[in-house]
Amino acid sequence: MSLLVLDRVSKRYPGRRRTAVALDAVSLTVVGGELVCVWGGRGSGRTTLLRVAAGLVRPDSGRVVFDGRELAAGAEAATGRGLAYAQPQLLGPRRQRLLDRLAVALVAGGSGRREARSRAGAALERVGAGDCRDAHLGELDATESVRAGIAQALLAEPRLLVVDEPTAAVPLIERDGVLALLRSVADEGVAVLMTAGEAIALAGVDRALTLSGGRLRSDVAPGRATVIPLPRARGA
Amino acid sequence: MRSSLRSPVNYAVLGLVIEKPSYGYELLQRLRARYGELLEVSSPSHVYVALDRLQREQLIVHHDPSVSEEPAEPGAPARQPKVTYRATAEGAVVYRQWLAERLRDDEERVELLGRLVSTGARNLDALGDLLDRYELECVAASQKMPLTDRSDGATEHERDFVRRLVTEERRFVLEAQLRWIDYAREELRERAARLSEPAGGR
Repeated sequence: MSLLVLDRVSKRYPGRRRTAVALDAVSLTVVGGELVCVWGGRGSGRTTLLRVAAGLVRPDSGRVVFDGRELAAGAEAATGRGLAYAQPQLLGPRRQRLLDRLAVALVAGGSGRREARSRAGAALERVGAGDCRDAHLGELDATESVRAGIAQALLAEPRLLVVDEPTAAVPLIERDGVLALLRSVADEGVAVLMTAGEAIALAGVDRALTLSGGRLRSDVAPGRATVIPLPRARGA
Repeated sequence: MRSSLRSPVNYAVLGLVIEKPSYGYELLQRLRARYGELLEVSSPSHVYVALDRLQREQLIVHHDPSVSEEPAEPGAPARQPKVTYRATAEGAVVYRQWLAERLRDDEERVELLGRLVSTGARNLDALGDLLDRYELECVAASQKMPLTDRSDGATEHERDFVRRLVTEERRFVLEAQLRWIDYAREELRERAARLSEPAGGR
């Protein structure tokens, strides 16, 4: 069954001189345990698509359905049902210890401090950032920040993990480690929806969705490719 | 490059023979271990065809000490001898030239770009379709690229290391190709919009 369904979702950002079309009737589905990458160049609408999918941005039209329910209620309702958005950079005091930063949300959710710290530590180990547990937020490098964001999202025990541009700020040589982490998360049964501005980040994904000018152009799984035909030129 | 050798498999096999005299099956295994998915060898006969060609070009020769020790009796049933090959001096020269030569574009790509040109600018839809196909191939190829996970801390074997670097090169080329496709599509959109303006405007 589809975990996430976007049905002809459109989003425009009206400006003074022109209206930017971020998404133009985009439809897609994500099923459990699938690693899906929305890939496109600058201005393709990939980040808007991801934020709409996570319930962070409300579309102008179209439906977003997560786990059988419409996401109109916003991100918080979705989080309760197993959708987690990985923050690209954890917000918080720069001098806060990473382990504590992750544990705070768990304590707020009712866990004891000890248990929260131990779960946060395990999550950091899981994402390959175990050696950062005592680092301050301000000390994390780009790769560590991405891993920490994923750790925080995993603490919510999601069924769908949404990650915006996990490889964008990461040095090339560390890029595959992050991709391999997301692959392993998907292999454990958590669906992953990510975006990328470079095709290099497509390695190992189950499906690549190509976005161009706010429209989905193709849906490619290795060995199975679907071209989504462009509507003919408007007015023609 | 010798036009008669053409296939990179021929050169790869020649290179392996230069490294170490080997027999056919051993070469097949070494080829697969060294090049992996970089050189698709669909059947073992591919290697034997390469050996045959290299031999005809006198770039390799039989290197079979057992033949001189006990010459086969005339009329005796021919047993399959394990024929080992070694490279000739000319083979070594040809291989070095091949290595030094500028790497050419792969044929499929040249063919696709050729089709783009021959389609011309009159048929924008057909151009768009070609770009779509080109993109699908590049995206599918990108997805198949192996990931390198350094998290286990192990250092890879030197042979694997170089092979991985070469595979990585393909990933960057795909990136550039896809970027160009995106750009070309943008150009097509612009052009289509401009062309439709006077007709649709009034």
